[in-house]
Amino acid sequence: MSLSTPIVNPMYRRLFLLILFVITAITFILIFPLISDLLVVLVISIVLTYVFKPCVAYLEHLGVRRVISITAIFVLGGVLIGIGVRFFVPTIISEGVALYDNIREFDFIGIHRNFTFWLDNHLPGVSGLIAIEPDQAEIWISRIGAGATAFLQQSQKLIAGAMNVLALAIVVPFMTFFLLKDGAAFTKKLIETIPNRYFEMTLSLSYRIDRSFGNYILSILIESAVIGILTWIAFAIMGVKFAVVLGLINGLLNSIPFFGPFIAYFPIALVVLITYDPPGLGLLWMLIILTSVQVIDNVLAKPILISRSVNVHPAIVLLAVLIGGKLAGAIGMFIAVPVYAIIQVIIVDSYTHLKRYKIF
Amino acid sequence: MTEKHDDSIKNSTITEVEWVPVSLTKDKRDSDMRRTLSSLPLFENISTRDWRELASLFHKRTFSDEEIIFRYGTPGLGMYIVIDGNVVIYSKEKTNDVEIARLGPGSFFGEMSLIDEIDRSATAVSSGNSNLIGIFRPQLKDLMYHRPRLGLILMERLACIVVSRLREADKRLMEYRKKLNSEN
Repeated sequence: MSLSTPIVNPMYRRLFLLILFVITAITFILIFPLISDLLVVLVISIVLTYVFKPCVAYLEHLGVRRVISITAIFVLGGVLIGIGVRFFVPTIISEGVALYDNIREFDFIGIHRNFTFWLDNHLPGVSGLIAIEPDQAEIWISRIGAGATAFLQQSQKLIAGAMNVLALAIVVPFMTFFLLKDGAAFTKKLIETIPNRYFEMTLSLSYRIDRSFGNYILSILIESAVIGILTWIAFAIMGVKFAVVLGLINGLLNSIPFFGPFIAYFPIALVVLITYDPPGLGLLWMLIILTSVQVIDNVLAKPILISRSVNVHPAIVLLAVLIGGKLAGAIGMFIAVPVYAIIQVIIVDSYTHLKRYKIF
Repeated sequence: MTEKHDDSIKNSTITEVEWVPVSLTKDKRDSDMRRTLSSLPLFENISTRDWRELASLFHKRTFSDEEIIFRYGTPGLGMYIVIDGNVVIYSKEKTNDVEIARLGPGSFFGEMSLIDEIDRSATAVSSGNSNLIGIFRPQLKDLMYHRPRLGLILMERLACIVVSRLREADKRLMEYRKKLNSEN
């Protein structure tokens, strides 16, 4: 008996990987509409589990029992949410409503007219090439508005379809509590059912994926929070209106690698144009603030959060964001890249493990 | 590769905690497992609470005759303890697999993998049906963070086992050298 001979012929290695990737992609696209309700609840619970996991581990390290650690964190989380609801949510809602009113009242047609007039004076003939008539501009603006509303409603429907908010508020904490308490034991039971040949490989793989996923989620959240808070403080100091909403937008959009920070420029520029006087100075402040926040993020936050370095190609990020947006609206855009990163970690690590454990 | 426990290690326990029998599970297999484990230098004199904690680390595995437990050259993830049955250890020499040890209940092997991530230096195969307990590095690392005191006890005992085996290997090497010198 030759004990070190690989079990599977290496000839099939590439073919297997290709089939695995295609099957994963097709399965995800096919089953998503069927399980989207359950998936929303599960994704929120898993994300929260990974957010709280390091805190539970730290309390256990200090000698506090697991159940007490989890309960204490839930109580503290409840208090923080209460404080958030009491102090921040009213600000965000009032700023959001005021911003919406400002946008509605804003004279886009007037701006267009002034812009066309400026073009005719400085670059004659260009406005004719662009060929945007005032009535066309109005149609385009209303189309963009309708598109954006439909896009946001898609996410709203997804959450509403999952459960009503009250049910969500009950199910998610319960699921998170039990994932924190029994998640490890459940994983162990599951791994024990794996055949001996693949057992060590699966155990090692599950730990690596768990670690990568946890670090990835946590670093995205920390980075977004840092960016959001810095943006909020900077805009507030510069006297820009709706600083909390701008911080929220910048923090959220920065969770999308590569393109997020650039996408954030558009809504923020729009708000600054509408609210800051003079708008030119506002745009200059915006550029200085957003660039400074990016520099601080790249110099200070990113090197500390090295674990976020799950290498995803920019083209794949763009594709994932588009597919996510198509499937689940705004929420889909935000979760697309983390979901893809996890699938990539699973596939790449599985391949590496299959090779290292000589199963391939 | 592995040996049965030796008395010098057995006496090197860190804390003298009175051993209290714990019902890990009810069936005979589990009581055999408990008896076997508590006789090992790594797990002797462990308190009731710590036993419960340790039990969450153990992975019970059953192997059939000639089934491979791990292969030479694959990443080492942890150690196995033989509860019942036998395990044969093969060393790879050129293209041949040479039997170097045959282990029975109470023996353990692969303990170096609990400390570092080097590849397996031998192949382990079940001889007849066997029941083993596996303990693996990622979980031991977690234990060291969650329960530092228990983790430290285990790591110190593990270090004692490894050092004792290293001493024995040195002793054998010296004997071979002496033998070679006398032959020359």
